Amino acid sequence: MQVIPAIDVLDRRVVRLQQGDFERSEDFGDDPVALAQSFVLQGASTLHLVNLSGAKSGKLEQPFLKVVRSISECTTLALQVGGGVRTLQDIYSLISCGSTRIVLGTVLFTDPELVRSAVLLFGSNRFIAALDVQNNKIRIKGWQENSDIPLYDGIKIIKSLGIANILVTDISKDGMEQGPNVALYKKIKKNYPELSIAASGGVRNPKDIRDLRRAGCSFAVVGKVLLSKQVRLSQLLRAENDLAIRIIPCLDIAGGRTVKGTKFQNLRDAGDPVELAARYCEEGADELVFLDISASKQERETVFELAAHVAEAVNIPFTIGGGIRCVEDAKRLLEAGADKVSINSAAVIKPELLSEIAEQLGRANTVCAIDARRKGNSWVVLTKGGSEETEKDAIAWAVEAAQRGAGELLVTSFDRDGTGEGFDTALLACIKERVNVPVIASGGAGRLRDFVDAAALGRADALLAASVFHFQTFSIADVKHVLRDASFPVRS
Amino acid sequence: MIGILRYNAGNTGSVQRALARLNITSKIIENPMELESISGMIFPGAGAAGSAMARLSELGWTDAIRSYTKPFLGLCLGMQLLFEFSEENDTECLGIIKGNVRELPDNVTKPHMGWNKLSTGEYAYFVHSYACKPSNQITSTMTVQYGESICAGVQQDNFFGVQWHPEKSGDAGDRYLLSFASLCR
Repeated sequence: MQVIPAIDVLDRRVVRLQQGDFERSEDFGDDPVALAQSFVLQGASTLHLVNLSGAKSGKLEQPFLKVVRSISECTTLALQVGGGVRTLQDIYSLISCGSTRIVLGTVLFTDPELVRSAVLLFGSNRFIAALDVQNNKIRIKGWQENSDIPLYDGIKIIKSLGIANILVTDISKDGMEQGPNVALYKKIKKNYPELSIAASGGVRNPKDIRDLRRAGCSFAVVGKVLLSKQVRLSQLLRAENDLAIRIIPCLDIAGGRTVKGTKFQNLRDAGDPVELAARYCEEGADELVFLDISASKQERETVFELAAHVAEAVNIPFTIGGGIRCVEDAKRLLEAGADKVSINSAAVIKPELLSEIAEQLGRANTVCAIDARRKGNSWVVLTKGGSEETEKDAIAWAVEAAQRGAGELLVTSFDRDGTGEGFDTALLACIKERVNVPVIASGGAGRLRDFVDAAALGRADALLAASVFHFQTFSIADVKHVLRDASFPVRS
Repeated sequence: MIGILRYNAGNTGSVQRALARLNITSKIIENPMELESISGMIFPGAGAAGSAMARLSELGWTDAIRSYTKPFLGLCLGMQLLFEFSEENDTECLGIIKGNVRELPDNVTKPHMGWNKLSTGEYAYFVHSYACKPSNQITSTMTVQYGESICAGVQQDNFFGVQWHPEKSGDAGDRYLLSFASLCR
């Protein structure tokens, strides 16, 4: 299931029609390219672009092609484009301007021979057959005309043309914010399981996305609700699957004991880490991170034993970081029972270490921890527990770390760490935009809504916190509760 | 006694600790000669398909696994290697289960890491970038949604596999391991 944002263009302006009625259109400005870019920032990989002028006039004109070309050049989006496509030349022009897929509507029923030729020339995968449905009948020409073709006859025609991707819009639901016609999609999928169905019209929230997924839809095209900013695209994208946002308590350890303090100062003993780990596990933690801040080499030796004890005590994954200087350290920790090792300063000083560990022990076991502090308009990397500032740009380092084989990034904001003022969502979003590995947000959690913000605005895959859990400001269950209320999937 | 196959550095440690936690007796085995002494085998794959297959064949494991008749459980890469071919390093695998292993599409975050809901309704812990495509649907025991429907478990004759990590998957994982262990006698 993939959520695809939609932009409808009428005379080079972004608009939304209500139930396909040109008389009832709402204007959302004159910059479709900027809008497309904002969708990319929120995690979109495909854009559904509709040429309303073309759908109305039946002609593909230069101004629209220019919009297609600009979006294609300015973003990484795969474009599926439709509206007013009537000739082979139209298709060819759209593909030349950067369209990945072409959405065919009216022409499917008015000129099936042309569609046959198009499929022969460009391949059936290039095409999506759009069916606009009202009361079980297909409407054509920008919804202005009723074709009198019943929906299922329409589907048969499309299948006979060799097209397996269909986009079904229930006109009565479009732009009305009453929820999608889930029953309709379920019925189509049941009758034609081989078709890949894109649902369009009526999506309001993540729950609608989940309902469509369960109905068997492969795609959900979403327009109005994003433009009116009632829901963020990133929230809808999360509903594409049930992958839970992970809640990760972090335990600082020294000499085999848990310690508590702020910014590594005023440390005091806080008990046996194995017991605390078991308790967090019991309370619903999805994963644990142990950060070894031992001062001496002898103290550090205890961490290997700790890994073995924790592995026997909990049935969730855990990461150990702090003081890992070589492949051998990492290997010993994994063999002792840790699931992942986190490398921080050592990787900044010697980036090849990341590559070596990832190659020899597996990318999935290799976490790169990045401590960052804002400096002007960017962030710099800190080392040695935040005490030393480097020249490295944090975003560039995140990209390099992922390229070198880090399977996950643990990103800590040192501006926010210990403040309880919330995660640095701008830092997280910048990194998420540039890398395709999971990102753990760290530093700044103080209130429950901070967790929702890191997921919604920062697009973090996992949320780490220490003091709020240690000092029992709130529980892991409380965090999961607010995330669930904000429609994010969490493990129950 | 369940044997945990160790063929390189990897997560044998965490599997062994999980079994200990569940009071399932196990030992690490590194040589096919040791097969006589065990009643079932867990194969926790680690690393990449190419180097794993090379190492298995170097140690004489490939034929030993193919002809193994007691319960066998492949975890993660261990499940993938049961298939015919993997796109990861273009690797010929064990060929016990028909089908191949493909990289996850680029439009999802990779690796697929974290707790995801199985078609059985339980949450399980996943970490992988490649996914199995069994030719015969009947061998697929469960699926998970991630960009597309992904095969999350297989079973064919005495061969079992899960794409997720039962040693790290809370109660669902414990139940899977205990059930598998009950077949090993």
